[in-house]
Amino acid sequence: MALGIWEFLFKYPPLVYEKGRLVFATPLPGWLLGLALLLAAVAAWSYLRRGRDLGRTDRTGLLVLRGALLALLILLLLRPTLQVPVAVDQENYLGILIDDSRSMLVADDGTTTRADELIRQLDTDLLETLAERFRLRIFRFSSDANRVEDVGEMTFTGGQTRIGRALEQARSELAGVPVAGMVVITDGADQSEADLNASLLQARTTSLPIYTVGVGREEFQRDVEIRRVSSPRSVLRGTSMMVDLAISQTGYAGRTVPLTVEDEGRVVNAQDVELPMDGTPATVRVHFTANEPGWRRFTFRVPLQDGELVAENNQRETLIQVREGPQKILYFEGEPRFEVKFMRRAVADDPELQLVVLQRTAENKFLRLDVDSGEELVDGFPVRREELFSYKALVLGSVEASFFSRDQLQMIVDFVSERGGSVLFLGGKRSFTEGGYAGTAIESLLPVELEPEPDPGYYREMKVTPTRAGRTHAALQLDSDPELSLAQWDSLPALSTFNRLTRLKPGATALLTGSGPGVSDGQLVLASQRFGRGLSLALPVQDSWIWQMHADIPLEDQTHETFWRQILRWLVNEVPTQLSVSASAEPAPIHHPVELHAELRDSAFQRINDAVVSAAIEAPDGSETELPLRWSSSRDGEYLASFLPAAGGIHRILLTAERDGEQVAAGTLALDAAEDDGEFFGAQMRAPLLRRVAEETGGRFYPLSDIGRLAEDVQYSGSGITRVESYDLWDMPFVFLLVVGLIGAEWAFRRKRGLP
Amino acid sequence: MRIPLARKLILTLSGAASVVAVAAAAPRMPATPLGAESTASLDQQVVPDQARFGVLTESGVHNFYFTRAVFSGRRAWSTDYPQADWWIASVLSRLTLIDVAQSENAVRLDDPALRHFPFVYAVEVGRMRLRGEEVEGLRNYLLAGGFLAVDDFWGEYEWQSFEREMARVLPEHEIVEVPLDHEIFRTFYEIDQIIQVPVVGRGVSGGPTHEKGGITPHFRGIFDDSGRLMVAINYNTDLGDAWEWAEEPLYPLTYSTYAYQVGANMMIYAMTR
Repeated sequence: MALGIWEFLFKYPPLVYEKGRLVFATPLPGWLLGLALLLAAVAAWSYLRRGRDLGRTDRTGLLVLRGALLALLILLLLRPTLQVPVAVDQENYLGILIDDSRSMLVADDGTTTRADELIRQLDTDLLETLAERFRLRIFRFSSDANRVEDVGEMTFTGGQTRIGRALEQARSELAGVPVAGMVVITDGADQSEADLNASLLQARTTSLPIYTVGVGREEFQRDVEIRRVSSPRSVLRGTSMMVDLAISQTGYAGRTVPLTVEDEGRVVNAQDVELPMDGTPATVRVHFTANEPGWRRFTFRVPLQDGELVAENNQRETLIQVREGPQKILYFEGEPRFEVKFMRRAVADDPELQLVVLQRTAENKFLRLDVDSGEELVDGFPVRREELFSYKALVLGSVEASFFSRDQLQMIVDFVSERGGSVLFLGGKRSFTEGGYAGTAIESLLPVELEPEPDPGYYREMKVTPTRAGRTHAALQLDSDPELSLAQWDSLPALSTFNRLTRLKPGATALLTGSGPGVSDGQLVLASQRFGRGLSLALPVQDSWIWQMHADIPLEDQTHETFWRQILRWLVNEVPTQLSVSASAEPAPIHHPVELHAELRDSAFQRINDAVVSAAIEAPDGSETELPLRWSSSRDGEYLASFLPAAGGIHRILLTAERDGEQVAAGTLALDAAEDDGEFFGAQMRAPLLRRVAEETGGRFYPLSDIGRLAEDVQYSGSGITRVESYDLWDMPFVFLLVVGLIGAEWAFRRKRGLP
Repeated sequence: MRIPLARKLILTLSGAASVVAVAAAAPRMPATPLGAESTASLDQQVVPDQARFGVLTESGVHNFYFTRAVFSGRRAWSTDYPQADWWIASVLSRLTLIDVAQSENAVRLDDPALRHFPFVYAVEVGRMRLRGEEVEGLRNYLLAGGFLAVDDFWGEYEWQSFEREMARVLPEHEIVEVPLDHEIFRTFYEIDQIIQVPVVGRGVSGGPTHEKGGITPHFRGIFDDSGRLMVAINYNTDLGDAWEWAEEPLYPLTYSTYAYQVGANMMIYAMTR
C-alpha cells in the first residue's frame, strides 16, 4: 500500500532513487535562465516596494509562497533527471538458488508447506518476467548447489542448508559471464556460519548483490524443541550420568510434558518437564545409568504435542561410548590409615574400577594390594613414565613431598598434563602445605593455592556442603533426585582436616566446602581444575570413612560407597588412551567426506610419527573397509584420513597402530552417519540472517509474499552489463500537486488576510 | 655343635632386635608388680555403668587409637589395662608409620563412640557376658567395617563361652581357623607359626606356657561375606601380657617379638582390608 502510494506520487520505485544519480538535463540556453532569475528579482522588488502598504506578516508570507513557486518552476526548467544503470535485457545472467532442504517441508500454518507456498509463488509470472530480462540459471541447494532446468525438479530432501557453500558453487558455475545478481530463496536454517561469512566477503569484493527471499515464519505458533544435549563422550559402564538438555517452546508455556531417555530404544529414564516461557530456553537435567557396554545411541524425546508443526525437533540423539573392564587407579598412601580400607571397600564391588594400593607401612616398606603381578610396584612408587602412565588416575594420600625425587614430582605433573590422567590429592598431616609441596612442581598442579607456611596445629571438624557447582555436579549426586541428594548431604556427619586451604587457583572450581567452629572461611573440601590434558582434584580431608562408620549412618546406607565410586569414576571417565580418534563432523552427513583425526602416543605417551596407522571401518550393513591414515607432518603424532559414509547408521571404526610389525595401540570410534535433522532445529525462518546477507552485498531482502517486486528490483542491481537510463522527474504527480498546492496556499493566504 | 647354637642365638637376637630397641626407647610406663594381675583402677562390675572410661574426647587427630573394648563380664575387659595398651601404642608408632595416639582408649561396645575407632581389642573374652545393647553395638560395629581382635582366653570352657557370645553377635558367621598362608600373616611381618605366648609369670619362670587346659594356640577368625577377616581370635595365648612385659629382662624375647608382630599385622590388616 505504502509502496503503491510512493510509486503514484514519485513515478518510480524507491530503488530507482536509491541507485540513481540526479542530473539536470535542461535544453534551455543560459540567457533564458538569466532572464528567469531577473524576473524573480523584479518580482521580489515589486513585493518589497508595495510592501509599504502591507504589514510585515503579509509581506513575508506572500514572499515565501511566491518565491517557493518560482524556485520550483526554475528547478523544473532545469529538467531534473535520474540516471540509473539498468541491466541490459538478455545480456546478464541471474542465479536463482532455491532451498531444497527438508526444512522446506515444514507447514508453518499447519496446512501448506513452505515448499508448496514457494512453488505457488514461482508459478506466477515471476520467472517469466525475470526470463524476459535475464538469462536464468536455477539451482537447487542444500549442502551443495545443483543446476536444475525447472523448479519442478526440486525434491526438498536435502540434509543441511549451507547458503555460503551453495553461493560459492553457483558463482563458480557462472564464472566468466556477466551476472546481475544472485537470488537466494530459503528459510535460512543455515548450519554453517563460517562458510557463509567467507562467501559474503567474496561477494562484497566482486560487487555481486545477493537478493534473499525468506520462506516461512519467523516464529512458530506452536512448537517444542530440544535445542541442545550436553553429555559426556565416554563413560564407564554403570555410571550414573547427568545430562543437561536445553528445551524451548512456543505456545505451550507452563505445560508439563514427559521427557524420555532411550538407550538404543530401551527407555532408561522418564520424567515430567514443565515447559518454560515462550522463547526462553530452559535447562532440564536428566539422570540415567549407562549399563550396556559399547557405543550406544541415546535418544532424548518429548512427544509431539497437539497442534505442533515440527515433530523432528522434539528429539535429539547422542552417541556415548560406554566402556567396560577395570580402569586402573593407583592409590599411594604414605601412612597407614583407615581411608585405604574404606575406599577399597567402597569400590570393591565395582567391576569397572581397579584400585591398586601402594601403602607405605614403614620407612621404605610398602604393602601392595590388588596388583596384577608380582612385579607391579615392586620397587615402590614408579620411577619410569611407562609404569606410572599405565594407570588412568592417581590418588595421593598423606605422603610428604620429600618422599619423591624431583623427577618423580615432575612425572606426576606430566602424568596429568601430557598423559591426560587424573590426580586426586587427599588431605592429611603430610599433604599440601603440611607435606611441603609449596615450591615443588606439584604446586602448579593443585587446584588450590597453598598456604605460605604449614600450620601444624590446624585440626578442624567441619560440616561438608556442596557449592552451587557441586550441587549440580554428576559425581556429587548422592541420590537421583536432586532434592534428596541435597538432603543427604545435609545429614552427613562432620569430617575433619589438617589442611587449611581456602583459596582456589584461577580456573579451578570449588565443589565442596566445609564449615564449623574454628574452620577457616571458605575452607575447601573438594576442588577441581583441568590441567593440560588431564584433571586435578583436591580433597583435603582424611577421614571420609566416617561416612561409613559413624553410628548415625545406617548399615544399609550407601553414601560412602556412592561418593567414592562416583569420584573415582569421574577420575577415569574421560582419560585418553594412547590412540585417540575423532571425526570432523558428528553425526556425519551421508555422502560427504569426513576427516578422521587420530593422535598416537607410545606407552610413555610420547607422540609417535613413524607408525603405520589404519582404520577398519564396519558399515551399518556389516561390510568392512580398510582405510590407511597418514601422518599429518604438521604435528607430531597426528594422523589423518578422509572417509565417505555411504549409508546412514553407525559406522564402527577400529584404529590400530603398528610399529616394526607390532601393535602399539588401538582405539575405537563410532560415527553416526545420517541425513541430518539439524534442519529441523531452529527451523523458523531466519529473517535477520537473510537481511544481513542482502545488506552486506547490496541486495535486498523480501518475505516470500513480496517476491513479485524482485523482478523489477533486480534490473537495478548495477552489476553485470548495464546501460544508463534517464528518468525525468519534472512530470511526477508530486510536482504537479506541489505547484497546485503553492498556488492554492497563496490564494488562501490572501483571502484570509483580506489582500487583493 | 657350638656353631649351630651360636647361629641360632644370633638369629633369635637379630630377629627381635627391633622390638628390643623400640621397647628400650619407649617411655617407662607405670608397671604393676611382676606376675600380678595387671588391672586398672576402674570398676570391674558385671555391667560397666560408666559411659566411658579412658575414651578420648577427640577421635580424629590421630590415624589410629588403640581401643580397648569394655564389655560386661566379671573381671574381664580390663586385664593388662592400660599398660599393655600404652606399650603396643608406643612400640607400633616406632616400628611402623602408623600415627598412633599415645594413650589408652577404652570404649563400651554399646557406646556410639566406638564407631569412631575401627579397630578394637578385647581380652578375657571367655568371661564375656554381653547385654543386648552390647550385642547390637558390636554387631553393627563389625558389619559397618569395624575390626575386633580378641586375646587372652584359654581352655575349652572359655572357648565355648566366647563362641556362645559371638553366636549372639554374628549368628550367620562361623568361627574358622585362619590358615598360615592368609595375608594377615604377611601384611607387615612374615609370620610362619602360631606361638603360645604365656602369661608373664610362666614366661619368666620358664614353666609350661599353657593354662586352663589350653594346650594348643590358635589364630581363628570370623570372615565377612566378602572374605575379609573382621574378627581375629588369639586363643590359648596372651599377646597382651607380652606387650606389657616386653621390657622385663627375664621375659623371653621370642614371645614379645611374636606378640608385637601379630599386633602390627592385625592393625595394618584392619587399616587396609
